Amino acid sequence: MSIEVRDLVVEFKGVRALEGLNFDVRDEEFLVVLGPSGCGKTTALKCIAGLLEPTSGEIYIDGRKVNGVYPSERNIAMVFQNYALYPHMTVYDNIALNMKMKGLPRNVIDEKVKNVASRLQIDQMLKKRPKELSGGQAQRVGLARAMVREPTAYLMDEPLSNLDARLRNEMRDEMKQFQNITGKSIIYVTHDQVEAMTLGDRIVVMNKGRIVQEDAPKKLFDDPDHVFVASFLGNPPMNMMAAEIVSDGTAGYSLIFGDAPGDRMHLSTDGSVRLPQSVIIGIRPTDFKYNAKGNVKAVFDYVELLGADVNLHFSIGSNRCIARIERRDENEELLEFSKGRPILLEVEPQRLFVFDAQDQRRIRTEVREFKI
Amino acid sequence: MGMTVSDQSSGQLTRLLKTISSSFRREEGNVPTVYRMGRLKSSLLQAAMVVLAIIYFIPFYWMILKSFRLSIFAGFPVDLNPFSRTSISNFISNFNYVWGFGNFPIWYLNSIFVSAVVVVSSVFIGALAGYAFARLDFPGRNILFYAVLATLMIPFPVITISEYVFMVKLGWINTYQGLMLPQIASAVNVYLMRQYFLTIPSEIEDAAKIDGLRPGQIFFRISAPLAKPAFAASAIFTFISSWNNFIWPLFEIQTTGMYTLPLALNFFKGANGTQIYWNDMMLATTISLIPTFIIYVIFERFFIQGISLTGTKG
Repeated sequence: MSIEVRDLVVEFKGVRALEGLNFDVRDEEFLVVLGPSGCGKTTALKCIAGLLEPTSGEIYIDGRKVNGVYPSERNIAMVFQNYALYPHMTVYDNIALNMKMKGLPRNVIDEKVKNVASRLQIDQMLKKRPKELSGGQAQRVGLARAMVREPTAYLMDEPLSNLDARLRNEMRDEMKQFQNITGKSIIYVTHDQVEAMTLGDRIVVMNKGRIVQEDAPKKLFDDPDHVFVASFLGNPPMNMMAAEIVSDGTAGYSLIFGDAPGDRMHLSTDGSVRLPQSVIIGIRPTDFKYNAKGNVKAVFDYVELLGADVNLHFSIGSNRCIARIERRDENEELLEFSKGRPILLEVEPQRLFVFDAQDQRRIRTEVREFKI
Repeated sequence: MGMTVSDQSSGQLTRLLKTISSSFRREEGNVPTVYRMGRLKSSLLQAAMVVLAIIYFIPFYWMILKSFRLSIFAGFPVDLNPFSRTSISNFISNFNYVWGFGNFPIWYLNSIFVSAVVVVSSVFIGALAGYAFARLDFPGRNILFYAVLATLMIPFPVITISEYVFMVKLGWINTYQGLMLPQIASAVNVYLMRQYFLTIPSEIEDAAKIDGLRPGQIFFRISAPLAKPAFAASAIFTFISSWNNFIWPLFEIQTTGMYTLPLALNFFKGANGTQIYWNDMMLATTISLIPTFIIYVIFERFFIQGISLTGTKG
């Protein structure tokens, strides 16, 4: 383990930002901490870096307890969203500062700076000032400044969020390569689920100061434990419908999801778990098919043409939903429909996710039949 | 002279009010505002600026003109060109008289010494205090900060007497330290510095901590160098107000050897105050404005940057 976080609690003026966080970062692991803004992910990172002293809880880096240890002595390096380069210093001095503070001899510093700069392809910019750099170059300097410290772990606080979309895609590849070059653990904080899915060996999903679920990206997407995780991962997000069970017989459950007489659905399960009174039904946009023999009655709203696919917006009762449908000859008519037209969609019952509406947790049961 | 002093202080006051009111509106996270205006609007504004510049320039012109004249009488001179052959010899004779008058070179040195010490200490203390208010989290920080700001609302004449009594009790009347100390404590500088430090992203200081800099080193090697425009702005403010300060030295200084220039200029009113030697007085005023002019020219670039970043912004 390179980093262990135990029962981390942070309070700001009586408000809890972190409510007892526990997680580990394994050696050479790329761990992504994913969550919406304000969920406490950056707070956790700052505690690990030593920029913020936790209210309680322990942090171990390389097995050593580092509570109260000054940031520069924790053997970590940090990369910031706004790059946080020193504007009044050249790129060279930005990279060299920490070695100068350690009192390393000038020729050693020079060699290390040049070595790191050539590996990150910024050797042409060493004499420039940060304001002369583009966003991508500035973040590479940020990476170089971190790398030259040869730390146990890298802490990255949304390092790509200030870049424009195209550059962000390019830099995402570079981040993956960066891990290969350094071979060290990385804790990467982001609110971008695409970054999390593509970069992470493992993702810790956080919400409101707690960890909701942690697992490999594929596992999180395919098998979410929680409404929050299910709706946070995936774009467009999973469609969620709250429903109440009105009758529960041998043929399955009958549920209502609205006040109108037609707002009813029927489903039956493998019977392994008894469903609670209030549930949330989740369906991924990609699990809908446009099919005249479909099992879901819906009302067409509009389509967004994406190229090879369309985003079909429709309503089920008062629930607004999205389906991602591949364009084919037989469904090309979708582009011509006007708002309010009734349509039929097909969903395989096994693809449904059922959650308990009370605690938002997943109910692990297989749906056998489904009809709206 | 009297006119320029009051102009500068009223200009300062408006700026100050602006900065104070903006501080109550917004604490941090300033976003630069870009003003866009139509062509007509901008040329009208330019015309207004030209008129204003002329109005500001006339007293200076009159001051310079007068110092090239022999006449001791007030009244508008017929010859508006200051640089004719006779006027230059007039200027030299006026200069010789003024420079030899009383201890004029000593008064000049006094002014330079007092202003230099006041500027350096006041800006340094202002920077440290401003940094503490911007960055350190200590109990009572906000109350203390508003207390500092509140001192700006008390006009100096209100506290002059009590400051005088205070100096008497310290035995500091007619001393340099008594002259300087009240001028060094400057809420304006504290405020200006704090506002500027707030605009520096705290991540830069976080990065410095990770790079191994201790808090003191962060201030001197990272934050202070980044705050150059604020240093320049508060240095100019402090210099102008200290250089032109008349009231406090009037109370504090009792022997002519300790005089600063604003007190010395008073001599040219003549012995009984009825006869004013305008040419000599204007020449002395012109000479006394030279350091202000030089400092402004040197720091003007930083000064405008500092004002626009700390004062009117937000």
